Amino acid sequence: MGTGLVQYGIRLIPDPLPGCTDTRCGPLLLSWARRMYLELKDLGKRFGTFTALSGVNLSIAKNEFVSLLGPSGSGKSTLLRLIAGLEQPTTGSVWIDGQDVTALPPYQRGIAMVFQDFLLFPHMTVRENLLFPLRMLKLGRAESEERIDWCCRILSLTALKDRFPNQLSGGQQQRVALGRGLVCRPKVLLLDEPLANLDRELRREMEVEIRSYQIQLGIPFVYVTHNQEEALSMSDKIAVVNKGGIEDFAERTEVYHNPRTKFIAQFVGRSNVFSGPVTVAPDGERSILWHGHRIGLGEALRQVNGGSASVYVKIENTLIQPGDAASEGRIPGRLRDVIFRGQYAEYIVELGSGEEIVASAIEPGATIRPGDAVLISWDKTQIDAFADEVAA
Amino acid sequence: MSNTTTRPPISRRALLKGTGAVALASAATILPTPFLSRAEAATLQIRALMWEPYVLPEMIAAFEAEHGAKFSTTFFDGNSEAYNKLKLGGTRDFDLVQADGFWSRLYFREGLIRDIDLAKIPSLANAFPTFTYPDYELLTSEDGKSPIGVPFCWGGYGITYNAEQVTADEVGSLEVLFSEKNAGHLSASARFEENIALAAILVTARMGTQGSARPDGKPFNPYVLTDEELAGVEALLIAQKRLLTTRYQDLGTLNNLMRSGIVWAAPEFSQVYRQLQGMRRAGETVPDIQHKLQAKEGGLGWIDSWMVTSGVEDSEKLEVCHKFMDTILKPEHMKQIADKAGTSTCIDIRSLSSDEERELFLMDRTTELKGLHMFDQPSSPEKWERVWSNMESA
Amino acid sequence: MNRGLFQRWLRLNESQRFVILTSPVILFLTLFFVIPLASILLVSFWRTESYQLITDWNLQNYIDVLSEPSYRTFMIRSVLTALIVSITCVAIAWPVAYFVIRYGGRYKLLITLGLAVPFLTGIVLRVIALQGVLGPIGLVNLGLMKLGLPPIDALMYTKTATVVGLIYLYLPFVTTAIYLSLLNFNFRLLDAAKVFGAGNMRAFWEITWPLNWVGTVIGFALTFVPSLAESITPRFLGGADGTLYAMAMGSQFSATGTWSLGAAMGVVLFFVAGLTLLTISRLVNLKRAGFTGAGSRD
Repeated sequence: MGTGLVQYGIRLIPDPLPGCTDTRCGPLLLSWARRMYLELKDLGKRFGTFTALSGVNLSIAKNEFVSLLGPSGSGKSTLLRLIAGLEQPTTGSVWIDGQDVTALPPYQRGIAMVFQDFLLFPHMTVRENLLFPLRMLKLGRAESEERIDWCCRILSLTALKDRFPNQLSGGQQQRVALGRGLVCRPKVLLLDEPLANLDRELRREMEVEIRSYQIQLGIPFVYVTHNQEEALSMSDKIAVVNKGGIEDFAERTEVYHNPRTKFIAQFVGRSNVFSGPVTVAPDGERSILWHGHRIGLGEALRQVNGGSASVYVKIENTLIQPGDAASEGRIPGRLRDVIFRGQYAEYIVELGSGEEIVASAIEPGATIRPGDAVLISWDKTQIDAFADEVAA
Repeated sequence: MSNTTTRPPISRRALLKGTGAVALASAATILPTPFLSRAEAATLQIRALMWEPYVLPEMIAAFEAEHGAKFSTTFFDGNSEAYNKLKLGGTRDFDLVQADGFWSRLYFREGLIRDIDLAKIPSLANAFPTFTYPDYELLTSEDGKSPIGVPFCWGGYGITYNAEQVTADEVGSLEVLFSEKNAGHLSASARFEENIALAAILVTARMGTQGSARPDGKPFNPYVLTDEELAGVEALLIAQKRLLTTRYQDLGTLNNLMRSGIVWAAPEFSQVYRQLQGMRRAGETVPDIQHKLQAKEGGLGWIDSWMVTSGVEDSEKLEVCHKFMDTILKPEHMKQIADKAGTSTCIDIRSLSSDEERELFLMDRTTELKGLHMFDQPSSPEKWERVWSNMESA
Repeated sequence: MNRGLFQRWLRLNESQRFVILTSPVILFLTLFFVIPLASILLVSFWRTESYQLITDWNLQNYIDVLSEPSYRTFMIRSVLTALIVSITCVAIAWPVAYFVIRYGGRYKLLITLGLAVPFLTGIVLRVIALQGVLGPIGLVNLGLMKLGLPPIDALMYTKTATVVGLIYLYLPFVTTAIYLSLLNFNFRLLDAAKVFGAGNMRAFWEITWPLNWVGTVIGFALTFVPSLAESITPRFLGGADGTLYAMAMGSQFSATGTWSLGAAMGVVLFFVAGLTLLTISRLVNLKRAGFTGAGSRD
């Protein structure tokens, strides 16, 4: 950020508060840099008898890129529409920049949105699409033109200004949609799976671009996706949404490496799952019994001494090495197939019991061919374990 | 198939439309009628161009069974319409045709119809003498030699009026239909010929030109007018327009307008008069509706006839056409016609009718027809059209 | 056999195929459109005399149609009537179609089909049914009289009654046209408009209206052209002073037997309707209506 934005009149800092007589100004002044810019308080939404969302609390600071990650139907898009004001919440409130906007219509919230299917106005040219929010803001002609020029330049749309949306490729439409979100200088930019309709390569490119615009503008981006790669590569923080609630809201590395719930362990990253009854050895070491193999729990699940539990081991932490000498912590199997993924390969190992384990870490220098006897192992500190819920 | 040549039954139309085959249905209606009728000309077929109220389905079914013939119908409204159909379609498309008054002779002059043999129509013996030669000449060729049609139904174009609002004295003159006093309570038909002709009777009476030398050298005929008379008619009709509630398109409308007491006087064929008198006599609350057949200035009258087109050359077919005319003229069938269509018949059916019917259907007043001017063709349809358009746009 | 046909088909060039594919359509149009139209055109240059068609070429019919005040009056009346009817129809059909689409739920198809129910009967029957509602002893006026109120004269055989009748007849067409247009309209575009600063009304006029303009114009034309050529409704509802152009034209053929004059009136009507359609099509910029050639995508 910095000079580039100042030049285009972007206010990175809200009003510098000189005229503020509000009593809350004191503490606010102290913490304005860290202050929460977008806050959701106990937000809930019911459609008829169906509860789409309940008890959502989320605080997003300025400068933060937050992803709402969840499977389809989890309520993440509803959450975004509540923030936008396209839906009214059943309970709770939405605060933007210290103001309760719950009762405000979308156009008074100072937000902008990039939609999954772009939703460009088909009867307007690219330029007119970009001009639309500015017209609604009743911005002067000179400033409008200046902003459109800026927008076209950073998004490489200058040559396409006079085209209609359906004369553009998917990627170009995407950039116009993004431009329309940026041109009005919103307080918050909401993105609803904006890359879902693009092909893989273009998606990669756009991920980088979107992230860089966010850093330039210094406003929060709230990015809805069901694609964990997108969420992981772009976000500062990820809110994992499941069944109408937030499972966890944390730094992206935290979400990836230390999943707080079983759902997150399952949904984020790719893991091998082992479930079985928890047993405690005479030496106090606890493990689960899985198809005749004892899988140690290490330091995890200290308080659990019975019932059953599941152990998640990410495939990149699952090590494969040649050999058939089974021992404690090494599970024998036979390599069935190798799926080559470019930077890494996935080794599909079939156990005697018929189960399959996927490993993508291989002992350096080892060569294994399908049919070879192999051993599977992992570092006990890199597992995630969760007690299984007892069926009611 | 008795009466469906040009009018497919509603159900089939509805079905076609219902299934979305609108294009198909419209294509079928665009198809010229000859296509349809010729396609089915296998057995002996009798095709009639006639008025719709005169169809007696049971009689036709029995007739078809007896003579092994198919009877199909095409309908028309006014005489000029039938004339146009006959001219355009050619006489080969129809075997039997109906017309009024002078039109029969016009048809014969133009070779559209042929002479017939009255000896083969014994039912004609029951006709009132007023309607047969020599009392009534219009169904005989102009040289008086060949019969060209048989009389069927008759009527006037008198004034049906609400006796509670208009006195019998007032309806004695056609002025009642143009009187300021009745503004908003008058109606007239939508037929341009009869509107102009009726107005012409009044205009010529006012001008005193009925008795003077006429353009065609014949006695006064309201269908043959001078330009001054036509101009007078136009002015009179324009003045009348303001006084009309509406021009009735169908008898149902006139019936409603008179029953509700909105319309006090209107010229008509006396069917509404009969309908409303019938209701009143049945005890319903209906105004006292009466009918004046002929005003002092004169009146219009008509005699429907059946004729055989010149397309009928085959003797077997001619025989069946004669048989048909004989059958429909039988008193029992004519009684049905009177009941159904509400018209007076040219056949004496007094022995089959009640006293009330004798009065309503003017069965004892057939001689009054003598004084009426018969329906005819306008002397110049072009001039009359202009009069009518000027009136409608005024 | 089929194979041989197919092989031959493949050997044909583009224009030969075009001829084969379009010939049934051309034949149909020729049979039911060109030939009748040409014969009308022919007759309009002849004249009639006492129900006889006389084939001497002249322009008198056109001179009469264009210069006689009566026919001009009919035409002006018809154009005004058609304008009022179509604009009113559009104004009524819009909210109806809009609410059916937005709030009709799973019944919206049923509701739309319901609009077509009156079409199961013929036009005459519908007009007569309307007479039963609006006429002197129709439902409306009988009801008023029962309540001791005077009947509404404006609905009894007046030009207003014709307009009401035509609106009743053509409303389903316009509603269907706008309904179909809205059916293909992406209402989520309104979300975008609202997010980017438009209120409900603004979003409607900026987005919904222009993107459904073609459907609206089609609905308008579907009402305007037949209203212009309508003869049955004014005949039954219009009263003595309500004669419209097509009604006068119809009587040239059915009553007065002045076919040539009627034919000339028909040709003039054809041109007026054609001119209207041309003007209307000028009002449509397909690009501005959201249609852009998919072929030009790059």
